[in-house]
Amino acid sequence: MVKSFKYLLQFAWINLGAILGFAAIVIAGAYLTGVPQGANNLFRTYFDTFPLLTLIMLFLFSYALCTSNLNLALSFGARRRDFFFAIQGVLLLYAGVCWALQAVMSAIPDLFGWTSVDRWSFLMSLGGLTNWQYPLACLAIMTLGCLCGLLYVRSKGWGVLVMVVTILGGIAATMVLLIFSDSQPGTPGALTATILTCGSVGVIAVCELLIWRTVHRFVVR
Amino acid sequence: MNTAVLSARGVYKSYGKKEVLHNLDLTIEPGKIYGLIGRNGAGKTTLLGILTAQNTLDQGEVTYDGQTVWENQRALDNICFSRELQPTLFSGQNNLKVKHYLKSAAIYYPNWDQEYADRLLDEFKLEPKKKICQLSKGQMSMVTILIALASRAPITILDEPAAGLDVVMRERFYQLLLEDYTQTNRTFIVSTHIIEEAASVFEQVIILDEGKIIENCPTEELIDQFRYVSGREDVVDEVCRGLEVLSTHQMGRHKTAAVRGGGVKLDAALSADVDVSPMNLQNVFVALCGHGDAQ
Repeated sequence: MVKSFKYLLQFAWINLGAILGFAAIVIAGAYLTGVPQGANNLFRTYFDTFPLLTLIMLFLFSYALCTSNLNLALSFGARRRDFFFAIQGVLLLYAGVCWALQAVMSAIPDLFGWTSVDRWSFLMSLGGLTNWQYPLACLAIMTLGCLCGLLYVRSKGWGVLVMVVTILGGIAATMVLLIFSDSQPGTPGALTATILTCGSVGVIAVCELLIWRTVHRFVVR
Repeated sequence: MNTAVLSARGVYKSYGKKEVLHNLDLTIEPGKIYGLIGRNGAGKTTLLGILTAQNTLDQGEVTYDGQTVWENQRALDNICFSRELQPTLFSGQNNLKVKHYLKSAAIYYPNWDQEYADRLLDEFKLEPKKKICQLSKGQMSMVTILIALASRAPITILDEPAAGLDVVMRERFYQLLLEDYTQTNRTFIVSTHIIEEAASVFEQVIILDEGKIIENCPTEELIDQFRYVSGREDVVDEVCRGLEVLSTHQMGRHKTAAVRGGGVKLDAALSADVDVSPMNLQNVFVALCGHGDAQ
């Protein structure tokens, strides 16, 4: 498993570098274009919706993880079982780094005294390391991306279908989660958030099972 | 020296309703260069994939040193199957770079020889930062060869290593292969369509036809069993009686027959009024697998 994890890390650093680089550009762009003083521009939108952008990037990375990365590893003699467990490690790494990045980005307006902090409610409602729903969403979107890649290899139709459902479902779930994120315990909002959280856990569990089965029978091209 | 045997027993493989390999048995002995030849779609890559656990099988068993190869790290560490690279992968461009392939190979193959890999990279003038989809067919074959040779795996398998290479590069490949073999005495299996050029390198030849191994014996021994007999039609027919006639070619009253047989019967042919000429491996392959297509 160590070999497969080491193998996946070489791609993970590049991908995480891309996310962190993108975050740096968005922060610098926002700062330089007057977003802290209240300017409304593209950087403000990117800054505010960074959680969603990160999820899209994670989806693409995990797609490659279960297509070209898997294919190459098995062609070099990796064990399928080892690769599956190495995937879990890399998914946790991605989720952890993106969670930390999220916490940093949501803290920036408050920390540096940007005007109208309440403008960043979209971003800040998902911020902080105590909000574990965001890493859960990352894991759900990545397992779906992985499954999507595996299905696409076998059947383009199924792959595209899962991809469309994932993107639409992911956006809808994030929106609902954001809307109800401030709700108090015992309210309908909190119940919806709990249902969504349970749904995410269910999605992850089902995807992991399907990924295990598909990786186990994967044929190198 | 490696003494482990790679063995397949009763292997069946089908894709949907199409059966690709039928009850196939094969033993790969250590310290030999095997040539695997067969027509397009004969099942060569499927067989090699199954031998290296890169493909699944429906029935049967593949073992290395008596232990199953499937999900066995010890066996997988000792086998390198360097595949023919493709510019497209899963309906998209193969955007992985040469350096990704080399780094990954270095991680997985325990005997990876980085110094040798660097030397070959230099000799082949390959740019590590280039994407696979940007390489020419010949350069892709060079990557395949580089990985196979630098892996130093006791069993090294190359799938179409000469595809797209010019004649000079092909000669260099056979030279490198023989040099490596002389130094390490490891086992090579080379799947190729360029039969005649590679024939002198193969110690043993495996011919796969329609999912079955129809020949698996030393190259010289196989070639020696075949002859072309040509002359007047009636004389050729008389001489070939009792011999296995694989194909015939007729021009007017002149007939040429590809025959298999040896000993007394072939000696009798030599004394008759016909020309008896040897065949090369490519001719033998066409005679055995042509099924009339090339006649």
